[in-house]
Amino acid sequence: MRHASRLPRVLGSMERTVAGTDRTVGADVRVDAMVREYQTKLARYLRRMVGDAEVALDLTQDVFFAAYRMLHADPQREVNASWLYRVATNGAISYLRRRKILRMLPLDRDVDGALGALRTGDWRIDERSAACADLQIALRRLPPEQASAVLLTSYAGYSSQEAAEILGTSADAVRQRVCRAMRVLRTVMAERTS
Amino acid sequence: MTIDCRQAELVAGALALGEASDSERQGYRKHLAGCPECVDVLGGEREIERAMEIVAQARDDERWEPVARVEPAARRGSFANVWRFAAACAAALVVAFIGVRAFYPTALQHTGTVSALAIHPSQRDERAVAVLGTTSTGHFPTNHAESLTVFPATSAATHAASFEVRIDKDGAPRSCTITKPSGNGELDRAICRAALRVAQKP
Repeated sequence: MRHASRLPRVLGSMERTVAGTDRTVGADVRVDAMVREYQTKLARYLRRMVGDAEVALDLTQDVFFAAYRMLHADPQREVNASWLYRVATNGAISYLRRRKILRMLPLDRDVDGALGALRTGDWRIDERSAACADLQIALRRLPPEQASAVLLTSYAGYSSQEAAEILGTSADAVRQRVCRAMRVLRTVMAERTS
Repeated sequence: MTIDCRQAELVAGALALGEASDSERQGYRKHLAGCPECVDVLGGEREIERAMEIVAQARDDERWEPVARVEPAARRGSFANVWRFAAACAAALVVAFIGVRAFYPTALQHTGTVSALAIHPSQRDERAVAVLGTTSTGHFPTNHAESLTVFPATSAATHAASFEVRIDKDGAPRSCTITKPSGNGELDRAICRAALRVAQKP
């Protein structure tokens, strides 16, 4: 458990009362509270998922749009952080599939070339650190299901059980995806240092 | 605890997330000691830890602040165009109103309310989420959600407005009037555009 201390829970437990869950107020007030609380977290998560800040902001808007529509139609509906992340993940995965980015991306062995692509806008994230660049290169090589598993746990701070609820799978499946993602990340690190 | 290669993969994931129990950790070490393939594929505890450090470091290095709001000053250059466009819209509305009055004296009316939420989603544009609400007559959909593009930026507050769409006897929308303004002219115009767009749909 030594390692867990270095991964503090950024979002906290999903059981905690989250912004926007008070059902006695209107949909607009609830969504407003959720926007304030989760906009940055969701946008950062989505930017890592899709690799493009503008697309991430659009997808973030779609999440709150969906929340607003749902709460407006049914004020009793429960919309919490887990729901927001689930909608965000589905949005990112369908975006990636729609654009066929996965097939277009070369599985390049050339890390310098990949870093160059990062900086020239091919993959539009301006990375400020080697760790960020390594992570992003690894993420773009991963199937979105594995990318979302590693981001929800290690990046957003959810446990494998909480991430499993968001992704609609089991905790073991999340651990397996994280393990496979780690393998790719280790390969990227080895390529950079060799 | 004895584990096989498949379980070793799950424990490696648990180790990466800091969720492995002591017995799982022991079982993992024992398995790796007798399975060179898993040493190669899954890596030792130290290697898993190093990979996770990269993720933790990347998270700590994250500096991107998705503040999508654009300062009004950045859009001042386009204000003249906005006013010209608004004037043209107003003129068109007057013409449409006169036209409806002259040729369709028995025009039906659809009325509704709108609650709109501006959430400043992107740097390229500012879109407000609107729900076009209940109507008095006709086939106008209730609670129809529309995403409106609004220039310049509205505040992140909630706006509400009421509108009235005039429909000719063939069911085509002819004009839209804001009966209760939201307090933001651009938003009102966007609401009317959306209301006409919705009314045109079968």
